[in-house]
Amino acid sequence: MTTTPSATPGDLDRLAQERLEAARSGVTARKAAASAGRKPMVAVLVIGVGLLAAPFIFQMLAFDNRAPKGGVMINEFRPYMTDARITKFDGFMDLINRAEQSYRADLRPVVAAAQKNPAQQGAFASVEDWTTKWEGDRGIHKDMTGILADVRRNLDNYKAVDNLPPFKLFPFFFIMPGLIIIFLARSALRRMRRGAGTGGAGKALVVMGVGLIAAPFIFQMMGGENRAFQGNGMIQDFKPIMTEQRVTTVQNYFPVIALGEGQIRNQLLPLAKDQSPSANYPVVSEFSQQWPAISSEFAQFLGVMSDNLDNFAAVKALPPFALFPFFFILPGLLVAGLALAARQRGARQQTRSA
Amino acid sequence: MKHRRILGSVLASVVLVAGACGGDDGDKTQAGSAGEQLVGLFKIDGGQCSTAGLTSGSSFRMINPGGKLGEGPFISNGDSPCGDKTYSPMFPGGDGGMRTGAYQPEVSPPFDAGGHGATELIAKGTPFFAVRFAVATNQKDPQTGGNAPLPTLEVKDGKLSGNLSAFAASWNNQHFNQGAPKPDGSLPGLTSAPAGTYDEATKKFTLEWSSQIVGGPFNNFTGVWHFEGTFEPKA
Repeated sequence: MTTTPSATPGDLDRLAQERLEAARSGVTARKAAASAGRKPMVAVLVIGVGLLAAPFIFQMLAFDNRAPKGGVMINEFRPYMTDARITKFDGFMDLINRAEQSYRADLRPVVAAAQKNPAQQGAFASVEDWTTKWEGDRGIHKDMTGILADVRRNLDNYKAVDNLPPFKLFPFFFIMPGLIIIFLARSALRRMRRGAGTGGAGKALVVMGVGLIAAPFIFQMMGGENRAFQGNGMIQDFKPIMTEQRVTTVQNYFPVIALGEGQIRNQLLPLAKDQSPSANYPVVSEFSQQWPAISSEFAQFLGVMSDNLDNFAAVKALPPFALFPFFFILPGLLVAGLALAARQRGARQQTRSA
Repeated sequence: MKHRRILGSVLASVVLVAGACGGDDGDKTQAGSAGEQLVGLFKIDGGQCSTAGLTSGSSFRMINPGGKLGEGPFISNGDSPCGDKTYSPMFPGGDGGMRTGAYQPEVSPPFDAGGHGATELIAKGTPFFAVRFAVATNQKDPQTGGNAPLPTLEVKDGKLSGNLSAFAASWNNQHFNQGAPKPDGSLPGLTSAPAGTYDEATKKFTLEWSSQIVGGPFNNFTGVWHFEGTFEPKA
């Protein structure tokens, strides 16, 4: 502070007053700048809280624990979701179907015409029951091959989902960015309250926003394998299959086929041999030879379906897979945009005030 | 101080009583809260069939999901020699029957190359849908992984009751807990605790329990087990 020797006490008072006004207007300008930038930053904080809360709201974590359940389902389906395995099941179905046709064409005429004891009569009725239930548009063959076709159609979809990061990590893809955004937004708000700009925290928030936008593309949820959309397709296709009613229906096919096989092997083939010792029924015999392996494989497959009904229901209860990329992209756009807005509005206000 | 003395006396009493109850492994029977424990071998008689159903001996039946105890509908087993194929007769295995107070665990590996259950201590393998199932009592249940208590049966007024949580069947490379109650103590669905009769004089017994399958390919199917034969107390 310098004053001329001729300055009067009145001049000094005026000068002091002017300087005080200048300081006041500077503070007001900084406060205005901070206030202008704070609203977007508060919105960023809210988005951070939203991301943190999302896994709990969607019950990905806690309550129904849907993400870990989805992970269990994906793991347990893995051995069956291969072309080789489904081809093997298709082969089994083809063999049973050929055996059924061979029974009707070759074996049935022989045993139907033969004199039968009560056990043989009972066996004949059991096998007739199987063939009746096997054929037709609502028959076991049509239904089972339909299920296998649905599974085959979704092999690529499953593979795409299996290539995503493990399901159990999914909640943390929301929680971690949410926590970081909350921390950065609070830092930025504290700075702004002091009248400073958003600083490094503001820049970091822009980067976080860009990271959120990029995440679905990095994980190929969108773009590349389009895993979220393929997963959505699989969930939609499996909805009619993965129900308790449907699984129970398939369970009940088993005793029908198994009883038919047992009755042919134990009763009707010996009866047919009695009628014509030289007759052979190679397809029917092959069916019987293969049946323990067929039933074992199908039982395991059915077991996995049955054991994962709850897990599938949990995954089904999540928001549609196709929306998941947008759960990253939209918050990412908002966080980046609002953080930029907070920086720019603050800077603009400061310039105006200056 | 007085409280400590009382607590000490109570603890000492508990230790003494516990020692008295469990001190003699050679006891044929042990006094239980509800009845008399029968420790030994429940030798089973092989199932005998007619052109209809089972006429005597031991057997297995399976109820379809949604069925009822005693009414079924029961699954027909194409490999049953009975006229009524819902009965699968069972025959004594290497030990002659089921032990109480001891496990008769499944062998390792539990299945042969054809998926047949390989354990034959309690009963011989029983043909069921082209594959033989085996039964065993396991400390660690192969299906649930839960720990099961030792099989116990007790008699009171000629009625049998007990805990057969450890009982399990293995068939076609699959394990099924067939205990009652289940290893976790529950009685899901049609699962019913062991019940039967015991004649002290002749040592003849009949024993029946049912166990609903929980999980796996036959989820909600229920196994109904009927054992009858002669009790041989532990020497």
